[in-house]
Amino acid sequence: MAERLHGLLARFPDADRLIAASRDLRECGLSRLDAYTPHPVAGLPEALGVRDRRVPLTALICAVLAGAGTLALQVYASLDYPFNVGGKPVVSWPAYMIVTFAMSMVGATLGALFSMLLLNGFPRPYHPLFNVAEFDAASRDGFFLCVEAADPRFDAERLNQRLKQHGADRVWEVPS
Amino acid sequence: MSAGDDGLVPDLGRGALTDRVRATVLGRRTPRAWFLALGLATLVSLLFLLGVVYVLSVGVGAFGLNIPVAWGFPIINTIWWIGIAHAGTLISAVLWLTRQDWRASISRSAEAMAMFAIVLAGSYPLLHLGRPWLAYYLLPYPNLMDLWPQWRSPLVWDFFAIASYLLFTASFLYLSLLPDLASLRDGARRRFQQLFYGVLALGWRNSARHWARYEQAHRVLAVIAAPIVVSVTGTISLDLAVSIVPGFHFTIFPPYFVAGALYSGFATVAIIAIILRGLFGFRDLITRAHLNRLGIMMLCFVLVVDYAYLQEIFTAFYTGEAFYRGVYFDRWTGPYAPYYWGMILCNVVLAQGLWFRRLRESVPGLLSLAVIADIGMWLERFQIVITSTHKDYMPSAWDTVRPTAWDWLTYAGSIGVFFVLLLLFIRLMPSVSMHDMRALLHRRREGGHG
Repeated sequence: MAERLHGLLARFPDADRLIAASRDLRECGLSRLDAYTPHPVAGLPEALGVRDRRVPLTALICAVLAGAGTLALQVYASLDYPFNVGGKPVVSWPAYMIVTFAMSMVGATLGALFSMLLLNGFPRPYHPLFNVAEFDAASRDGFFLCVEAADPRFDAERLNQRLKQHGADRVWEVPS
Repeated sequence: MSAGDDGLVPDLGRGALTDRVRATVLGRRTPRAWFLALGLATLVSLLFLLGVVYVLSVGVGAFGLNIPVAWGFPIINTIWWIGIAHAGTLISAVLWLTRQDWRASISRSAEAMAMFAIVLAGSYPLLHLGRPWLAYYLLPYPNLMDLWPQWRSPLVWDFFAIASYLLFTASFLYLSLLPDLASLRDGARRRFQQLFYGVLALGWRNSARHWARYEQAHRVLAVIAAPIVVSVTGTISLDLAVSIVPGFHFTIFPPYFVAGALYSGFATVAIIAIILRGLFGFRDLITRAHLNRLGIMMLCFVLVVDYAYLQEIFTAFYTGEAFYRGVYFDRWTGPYAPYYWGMILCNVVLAQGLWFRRLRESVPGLLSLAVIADIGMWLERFQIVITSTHKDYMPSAWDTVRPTAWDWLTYAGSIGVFFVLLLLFIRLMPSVSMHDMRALLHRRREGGHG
């Protein structure tokens, strides 16, 4: 191992073995784990100990702020330039609800999209995993598990064995 | 459940499916039919350009508009296009929430359809402004004139509804494209393609963390989509229903507009699904079972539309108001009667063909029913917008307008623009959502809970 290692990457034949391996390694105390799958796999985030509710939370906060802001703007505009139409109240709040609703939907949409992108660290054009040519299969039919060398309990020899025990087809060393 | 027993899931593995769809984008060979279709659509779209340039240079008088019929074709077309967009949102979001597996293979093309339909829907009100370069007056921005938009006006609601729908649809389309863009990047072997899709994929690595956040964001957007499907066309219908015009002032308008929107939208999705089957040989991805489902959705919404027609007639006569009855006698026998009876022929008589499974499952059968649906819905929007205003409460103001050649050219041209955008999309982007299909195969085949 002349060059520095990013970690070990293992390919599994199916999702079930990937979940089992992730759970086991996590229970062994490894924390810098990530799995790569061609589609969302139920149970995998739990096996990896991923618990993150920030995306829906951001969406909710953005929706409330956008809605409240829009309503406030409409009320302010009506008071700033009072305009009598057919004797209706100056602050006709029921009529303001449609724009308020539309803008809170925009808030939630942009909140969800951008929090997803930013929390995932995008845009990120380079990543060491792309150095493994076979990693392309993650977006086709491959199930991968990566253990990063930065993990305090990282031990390449033992991990290699352990991953193979769990049914990994192949294990690569990922140069960093 | 064993795989494919209902004909909705292709008999392919995850890898083979990905390769199939990727080949339509990354492959060097473009089907000859695609070039032919694009050439034809481009020629037709030039009419739109011509119409826009002409209208901008001489003014909206080029269209068949007057007072009292101030809206005419631009607003008819806006309502028609935005309605078509709605089915895209319903398929990709509401059917996803209700776990309808059959949506997976048509959701991408439906989302793209929604996107382009909204762009066209939005372009007509701008054109209709007469001075489109002043469109920013609709935005609440600090200005020296001390002006604010009139927040009580349905026209301002309309602007916000369409603008927010455009933002929503663009975000939703990009979100669901993101994992597929990564898939294209990984499959690309030519430098240009690797760069193009690599930049667009933003570094997506299919990590479980990415997917977890992706699913959360997708769920948020899908939940938002449900009220959006109902509210955008509903808001547009308020442009009409809030005004005191006989033939506009009906409480049934919002649901009536939404049902009609979804009817024409599902029809357009069916047309696009048939085009994809023919162009890329997606007969195993978009099967007859899918066409059947689309036909059932059309049937379901056209029945609501037919009910609304009856209900409108009932309301007009039950009010006992001479002007409301007058609108109906005028629709049946007046100068626009051919449009009314054309609408009845398409949406009430011919649409009943959707009851027959054999017609829904046959390609020529469903294609003709879908074209009939789109024509019928356009005629419906025509009779709503034109016949109501041309005879309002002020007999001295009654007037009849005839559509001009520019009306027809611009309308036909916009259909050309739609197909140009759509054809470019299906060549440059995966027209079937690969990750959705992989998840579906996983769920069905391996009994997984993907």
